[in-house]
Amino acid sequence: MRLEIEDISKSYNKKRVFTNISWQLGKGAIHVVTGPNGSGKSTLLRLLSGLEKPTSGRILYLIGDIIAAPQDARQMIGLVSAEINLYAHLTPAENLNLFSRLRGFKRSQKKIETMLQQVQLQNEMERPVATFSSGMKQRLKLAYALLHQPYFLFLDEPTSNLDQEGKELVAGIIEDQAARGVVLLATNEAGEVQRFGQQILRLG
Amino acid sequence: MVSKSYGWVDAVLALIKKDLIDECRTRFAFTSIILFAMTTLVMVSFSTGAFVLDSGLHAAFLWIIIFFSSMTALARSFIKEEEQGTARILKISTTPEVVFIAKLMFNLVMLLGLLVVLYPLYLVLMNPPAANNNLLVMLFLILGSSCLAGTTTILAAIVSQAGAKHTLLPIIAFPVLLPVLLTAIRGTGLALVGNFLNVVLPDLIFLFSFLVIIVTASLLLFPFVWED
Amino acid sequence: MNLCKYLLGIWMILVLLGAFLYAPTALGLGHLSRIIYFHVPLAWVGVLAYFIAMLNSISYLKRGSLLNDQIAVVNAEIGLIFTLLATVTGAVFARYTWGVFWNWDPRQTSIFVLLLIYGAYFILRSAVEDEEKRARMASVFSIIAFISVPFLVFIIPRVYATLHPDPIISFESGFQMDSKMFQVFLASLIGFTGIYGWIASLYYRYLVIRTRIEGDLNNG
Repeated sequence: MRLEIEDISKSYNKKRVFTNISWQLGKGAIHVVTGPNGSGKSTLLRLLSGLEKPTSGRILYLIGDIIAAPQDARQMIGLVSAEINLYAHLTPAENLNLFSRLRGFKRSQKKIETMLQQVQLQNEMERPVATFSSGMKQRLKLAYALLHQPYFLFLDEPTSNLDQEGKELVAGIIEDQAARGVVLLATNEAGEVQRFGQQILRLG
Repeated sequence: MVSKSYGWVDAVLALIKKDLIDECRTRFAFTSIILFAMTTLVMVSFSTGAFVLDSGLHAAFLWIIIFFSSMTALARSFIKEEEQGTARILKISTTPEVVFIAKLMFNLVMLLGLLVVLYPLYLVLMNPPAANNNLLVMLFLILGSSCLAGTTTILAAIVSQAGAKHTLLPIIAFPVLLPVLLTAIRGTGLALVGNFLNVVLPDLIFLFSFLVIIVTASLLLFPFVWED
Repeated sequence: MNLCKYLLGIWMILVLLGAFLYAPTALGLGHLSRIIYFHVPLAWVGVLAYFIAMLNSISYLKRGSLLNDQIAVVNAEIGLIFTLLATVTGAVFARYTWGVFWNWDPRQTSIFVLLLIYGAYFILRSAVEDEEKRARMASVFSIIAFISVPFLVFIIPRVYATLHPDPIISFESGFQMDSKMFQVFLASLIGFTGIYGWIASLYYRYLVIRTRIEGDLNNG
């Protein structure tokens, strides 16, 4: 199973973000996309998740015999990004419950507790997300993205709000994911590019 | 790959539940819809108190109140997703069809909630004739409101993607809803006077077929509004 | 193309002459009845233009070519003008026949709804900034609005049957035109459709040229 990006370009109202990007992403390697602000890293991740369509070119998920467009591969994709927000008036448990059911799983209290433990939020289960610090919200976003054990995991600057402990948590997640599936990290921190980048795409 | 039969009923229920919980905690949409309806009702009752109105006028007032109250609240279901920044997470977590059906059901619940409060109060304040034909009147109210919800759901989605301007909804909804409003007013008026089912059956059939057709069309067109 | 233009011009002159000199006046209305040769074709084009705009909207959603959306807008603009003219001529007719400019007579209501749909379409378009999004939203709206139109046509006889008999221009009570009137009427219908087609073709040519210039500016 892999992700093929075929010669894609993206413009908004005639303003070009990037052109002619091609890439193949498969299991085993940690992929990193890097570049200055505005070079299109977040845009690329949005295109890969199916939130937007490329202006030209194709994005193909090859899953067994099936070739799927991003919007049809929803249940195999996990995305962590500043633009992906959970519901502020619900508790983390209610949020994860909701998305669990939206993704087609039966509700499982145990599973949600395990997820929250994994991101070290097990003590905050009853507070609405609106009361969380940005670091806690970030960890909850990680829990959300991993809920359905996606084969393809995309992380857009995931450590930006996290302390050292949080950063190590993310590192662990990235390495685990690379072993099981496809992982793509968008970052402009040179340290992260250095540490994780086994296959690197530079934009801008 | 997501197959369409992946347990979408549970997904829809989960989303409706989320909207209801959210509504309970913020109480915004339902409060504004009730407040608007009550204000209008009081104004109408106060200004027409001295007169005995015929059933057509009663029907017209009822539906004017319902229509404008619904305009204040039905756009909320999508606009608040955009404002809170949660539209995106919905887009990547589930199919457009699930989102549409859940929002449709939620809008319907809101309108039915309005009717539960509005109709008895209307009976008390305005004294329309033929309180013995209530069932038929309620059938028209429910069917008409379903048509309202069915049409405004996709239009609210359009408005939310178009810069989330609340005032846009009545402008684009009114021309589409005019046949529904005219028929609902006429049917409700006839029912209020005490006519039986056979007289108003064509109107009921009209509303029902509108409902089916508009919901089907909306379901088919919604992905174009929701997905890029 | 030029030949068509001149033929159309001559045709419309003949229609005008026929409307005022050739056709007889209709029952009891005198010369006022001549408005039928203008009012009805205007309304007909208003509806036709909307239909074509909607077809292009469907095309856009299927294929994603912005050209379809541009063509839809062109037709909608032309349709709006024709519908506006139809509404005004109808109101004038109403004033001199029934004494008031507007009385929610079935025909007036339906032309009014069409006007509202056009208005809503353009207001919606003006509210969306992104080009592609604007095209999508407008297309979906025009299709949904179009679906409600047949319902309007069905309810009108029911709602207004007892209110307002409309013998002269109501087609439900049978076609009561004599042959001369019918000839001019049909000719006018064809003529106005031709004018619509001609304006549309001019607009398309302008669109093509503009797209080409913008393309050159982008590439050059």
